[in-house]
Order: sequence, then structure tokens, then C-alpha cells
Amino acid sequence: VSHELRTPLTSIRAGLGLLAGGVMDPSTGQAKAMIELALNNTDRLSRLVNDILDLQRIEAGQLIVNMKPVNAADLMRHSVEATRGLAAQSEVTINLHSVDETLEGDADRLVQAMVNLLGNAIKFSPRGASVEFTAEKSGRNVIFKVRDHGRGIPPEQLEVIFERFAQVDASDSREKGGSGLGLAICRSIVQQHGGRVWAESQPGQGSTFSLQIPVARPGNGEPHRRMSA
Amino acid sequence: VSKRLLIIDDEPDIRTVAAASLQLVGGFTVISAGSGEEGLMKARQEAPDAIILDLMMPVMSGRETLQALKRDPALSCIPVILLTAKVHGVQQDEWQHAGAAGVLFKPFDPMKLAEQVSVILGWEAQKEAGAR
Repeated sequence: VSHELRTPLTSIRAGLGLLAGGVMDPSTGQAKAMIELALNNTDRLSRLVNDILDLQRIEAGQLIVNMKPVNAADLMRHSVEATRGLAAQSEVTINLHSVDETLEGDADRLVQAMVNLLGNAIKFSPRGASVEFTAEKSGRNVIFKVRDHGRGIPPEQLEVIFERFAQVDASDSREKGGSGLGLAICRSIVQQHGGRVWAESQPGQGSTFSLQIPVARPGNGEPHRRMSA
Repeated sequence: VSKRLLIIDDEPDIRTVAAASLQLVGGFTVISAGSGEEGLMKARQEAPDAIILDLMMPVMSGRETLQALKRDPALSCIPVILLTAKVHGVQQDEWQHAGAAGVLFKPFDPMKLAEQVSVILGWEAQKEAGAR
């Protein structure tokens, strides 16, 4: 983790140090570019710190406190709403096919896990492409699938991408805006719900991330807890 | 004539701040490369006076780049300073044994970086700053 933290910190420290040291005229484009560089790296560091703290709390079992019956279609709708801005900016369309099933879980955390998968799918999609977000009941589980048409993932990376800082390409963190912890957080959340998450891919033809969550046990699932819009 | 430094680091922002620091504070001329492979090519083309090399890079790591530099008779005499974000696990003796002139740590003080480079390389600090 130290390398991931120190890299943006170095850019911030050095950029501000040069400005404070008086070696750049504050009115020049060079000084403005340096401020912009420090600001961008502050955002990168903030995302990283937030995700590290989140992952620690989840793994310590401190965040799953609100296990209630939740409707799968509601979770999907909220996840799509949360990524609407990113999708519009990236000119990517999300096609939603939800399922009306009741799960038992922490709605906020399940949305967080789905947003992570949708966010990745959008970021790795070419402009104008679509992302399929579907769900189906399979036995005692609901399986959510997020399918993109991006560059795909090499077979040897399909497992390790769920590890911390295991992006397929080391430049993804700065170019795609991720912390390198999104999938690790997603996996921790899903495991806390007794589910699992996995990836399938044909390199060059996109990836499908599947998220399996158990349905609520009989007697626990009614009435549905509809999330407020 | 100012000394010419080659910075090899895969992070564009680190290259930018390190180059600005070495140019504006130290008065050095700086050439940049974004990977070990590009660094080797530029080292051959530009024949810099010294190289500042990031240790953690994808594809060709800093360690592999250092080995390649030291294996090449045309490049082996160029002093190499390692730049690392690792606090633990970098033993100065180990890197000197591998042929590096010294190690610098991230985050660095941009107002002192040029002086630290000069001290490691035994150069007189180039005080005259570049354009203000």
C-alpha cells in the first residue's frame, strides 16, 4: 500500500513545494498546471484513503449492520442511478433487466458492490457502447450480471483482479480514476452476504462480472423493504 | 553547460514535478522516459550525465532496467540514482552493490532534490536556476 499512497503524495508535495518555494511565477501557465496536478493527485489520494478505510471496516465486519429484506430490482435501479453521470460522460448506455426477488442484506453495501462493477464496466467500455445489467433467480440465489464490451481480461488475471491493487494494467489507476481497491471491496461485501463474485472474459470481446446473493429465507422476506427513491 | 539528467518513471505527474524541480531549482537539463524500455533507448540517444530511475514500474521494473543499463558497455558508466516510494526493503548497500550510485525516497522535497542528486553524484550544486 505504501507505494500506492506515496505516489500521489509525491506529486502533491513536490507541486506545492515548488509553488511555495517561489521558483514559479504564480501568474504563469506552468504554475497553474502545477496547481491542477496537485489537485488531481489530492482527489486520487482521497479516493484511495476512502477505499482503504472502507475495505478495513468491511473486513473487520464493522459495516454490515443493516441486514434487512431488500428488493433486487430496487438495488439495481439505485445502482444505475448512481452511475448515470459517469455513463453519460462516457457515452455508455446501461441496459437494465431486473428481477423482482427479495434478498436479505445491507442495501447500501449491495448498491456499493453493484456500483463498483457498473463503474468498471463503464470505464472500460468504448464510447457509444452498451453495458448489460441483468439479474435472474437461480435456485436459492439471485445472480446479477454486468456485461461490458471493453478490452476484456486475460484468463490468468480473472482471479487476481479481486486482490488489492491488482489492476490488469498498472496505468488503470490514474487513467480510469480507480483506486485499485474497488473489486476487493466488492468481493468483501458480497462475502459478508454469504454470496460470491466472479469474472468471465474473452479478451478483446468484453467481460462479464457475476454477483451471486442468496434470496431471503422464507419468513424473512416479507414484506419487501422497498428502498425510498 | 548544465548537466543532463534522464528521469525514468512510469507516473507522468512524478516526471513532471521531478523535472520541474531539477530544472528550476537545480538548473539541470532534464530528459524524461515513461518506461524502462524507453529509458534505455533515450539513454543511448541522449547520453545523459546521470539517470534517475523509479524502482516500481510495470513490464520492465527499475531493477531490470538497472541491470540492463549496467550490462550495456555504452551505458554502464552512467551513474544511476534510484527513486522509490518504498520505505522498507530498500537497503542502500544492496543497491550500491547492484551498481546504483544512491537511493532517493518519495515523497521528496522539490527544493532539495537537485542538491541531493548533486551530493550523491559528487557534483557541485548548480545554483543558477533556470527561467523564473
